[in-house]
Amino acid sequence: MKVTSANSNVSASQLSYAYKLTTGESLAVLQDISLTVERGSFTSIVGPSGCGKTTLLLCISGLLAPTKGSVALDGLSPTIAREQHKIGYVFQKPVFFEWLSILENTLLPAKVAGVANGVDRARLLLDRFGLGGFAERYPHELSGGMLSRAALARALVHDPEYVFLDEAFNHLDEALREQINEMLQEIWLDRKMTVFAITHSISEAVFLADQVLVMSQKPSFVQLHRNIPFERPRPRSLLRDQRYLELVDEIRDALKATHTNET
Amino acid sequence: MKLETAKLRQWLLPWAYFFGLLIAVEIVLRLLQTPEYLLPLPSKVFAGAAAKIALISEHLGITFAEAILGFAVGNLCAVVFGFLFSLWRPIRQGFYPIVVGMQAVPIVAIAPFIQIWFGPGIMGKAIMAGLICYFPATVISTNGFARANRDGMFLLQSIGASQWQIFKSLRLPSAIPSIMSAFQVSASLCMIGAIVAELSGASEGVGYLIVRASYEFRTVDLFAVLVVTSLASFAFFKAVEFLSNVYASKYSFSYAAPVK
Repeated sequence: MKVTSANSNVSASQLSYAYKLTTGESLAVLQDISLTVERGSFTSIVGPSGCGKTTLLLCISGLLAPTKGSVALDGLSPTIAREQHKIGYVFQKPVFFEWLSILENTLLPAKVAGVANGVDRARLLLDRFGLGGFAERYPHELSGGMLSRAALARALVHDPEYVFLDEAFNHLDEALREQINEMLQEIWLDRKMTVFAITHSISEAVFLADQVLVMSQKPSFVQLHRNIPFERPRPRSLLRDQRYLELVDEIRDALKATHTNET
Repeated sequence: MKLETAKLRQWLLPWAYFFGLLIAVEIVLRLLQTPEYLLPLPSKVFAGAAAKIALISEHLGITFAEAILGFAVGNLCAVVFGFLFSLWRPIRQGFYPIVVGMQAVPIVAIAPFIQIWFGPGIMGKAIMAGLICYFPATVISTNGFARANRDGMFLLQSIGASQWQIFKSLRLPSAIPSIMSAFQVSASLCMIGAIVAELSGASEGVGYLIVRASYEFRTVDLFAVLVVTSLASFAFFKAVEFLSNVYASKYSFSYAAPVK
């Protein structure tokens, strides 16, 4: 059903990234990462903390220029995709402009992209994530969990083709997290954006994704690229399905293996 | 209600102390019988100021105009340079240390040159006022533009914002609290600049009044001019402070607890 050609996927080839330390040495974070995911698919990324997941996302979105290798988003360079406002990003540390209301903050990408009905879209998304009553409030008046939902609304407001979520739901309690995951799945099924999501929750990673990437310790590479075959939409009852639990275990074992390599 | 009395007290207390101090000075001077040409009694100074208020105000108006002109031009240049420094690293690396260093130069010492170059008119005084504001204001506003944080930058870059959009939605708002502090610092400096320029040659303005009164040993007049000018300068500083606080409060959010 899906057309697969060289131009309809997100691919990274031999991506490496090294940070320049102040001592002059360089610290290799990513090592020859090559991956290809289908356009419109959902990719979860798990890995030991500090392994370079965030760096990988920044490189794929073009916010960091890789030291080596290249990335193509449906044939486009990430820089061009950004300039065409095709990217939505939720950063690990919530970024909000304190002098703008939640609505104005959420609206920002739509304004930058020149989306015509931006205000309506922003209000709709805020409503959907349970923040309808907080649109006129300012960021410091909201809790961390509320801000992470507003950040998700902002990442989706300009209807981007590529969405990057860097531990977007960290500040949410479990129940809310599942609820937001379901909403995200709904929106994703509707819009079919290509999503990359970093998460610490393996069960969340498996529940949402078409494929899960397990990263190794630094300098990291993709240790395991596991396709998740369950059909969509996935009901919450899947969380108790035997096959699902087996997959979660498999990924947990792979993740544990990266930790033992550490010593 | 309780808050208002607290506010009133906060406002009144410095004035009460100030006048208390004046009364103390008055008493001491009377006891020591200090000659008037050395240090006049505060009561005489205020009487003198009241008697000559029309003349002093007239000259103060001229000085004030020079100072305001210098304030406006000096700060405008400071903000523009602060912005340029934030935009181009080579320009910042080359020029910024010079601007910082220039703060150590006693700008008031070049007043005689300004007198030579621009003549005795209002222009030279305004330039002096502008110069004395410019260097500290540039340093402060440059720091302001540099305050734009990396996370905000990443966010704007991720959504493909243009340089202009980044300036409008991040650089400028981040710089506003600093620009306002620059205005506040300049508000008192610009009066100093204008008066210093007048001291080295003018036919009007409070600097001119001061020079004449000091040559003729009219100490009471000298102090009267000083008092009126200080009050006007203080009022201008307070006005700038008030306006900038009103405007900047939105941009300089902090989690600071309310002051008791």
